[in-house]
Amino acid sequence: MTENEKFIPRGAIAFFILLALLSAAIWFGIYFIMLSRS
Amino acid sequence: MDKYEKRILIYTGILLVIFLAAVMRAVSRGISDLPACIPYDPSYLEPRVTALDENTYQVFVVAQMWSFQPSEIFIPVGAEVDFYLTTKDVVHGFHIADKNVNMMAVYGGINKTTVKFDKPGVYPIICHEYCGSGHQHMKAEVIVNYPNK
Repeated sequence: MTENEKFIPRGAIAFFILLALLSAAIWFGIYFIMLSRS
Repeated sequence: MDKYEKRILIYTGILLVIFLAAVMRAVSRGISDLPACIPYDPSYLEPRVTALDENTYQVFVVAQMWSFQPSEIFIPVGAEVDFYLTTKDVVHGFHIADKNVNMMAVYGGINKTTVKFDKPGVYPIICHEYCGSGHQHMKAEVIVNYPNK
């Protein structure tokens, strides 16, 4: 029980950060392509 | 709620706000133009290109199964072009390659967008909304820098 209270979901945090970075990279990639066409 | 769940919601919300702010910035500074719907008038059914001055043009595009009129649009480099788009029959798409133009031609409606052509070249226009058996033949061209000016 004590171990559960100290549990930090490191894997999930790392996955979330990678997912957020990937989303931002894809989103801004498309964004700047569109701006270059305007 | 778990503190990690809260943080994920907050960070996701911040990311969405950043995305929205980037879009608002592009629109407010005029970097990206949003198409506008303007009141219908039958005169828009007459395809034509009119020059308002040396670098400002109006193009009245009429889509129909399966062509765009005018099919060749000649403009000088650096021209700013207002496209007015409508259709005589079904819904058609209107996409200019290498430009941020993605409009629908809707019967009884006029869509307008403004594009600046800074680089010379031939910009193909295609219908990107399936409109029938001749859909794939539906194309036109914006020819920039013809003749050389």
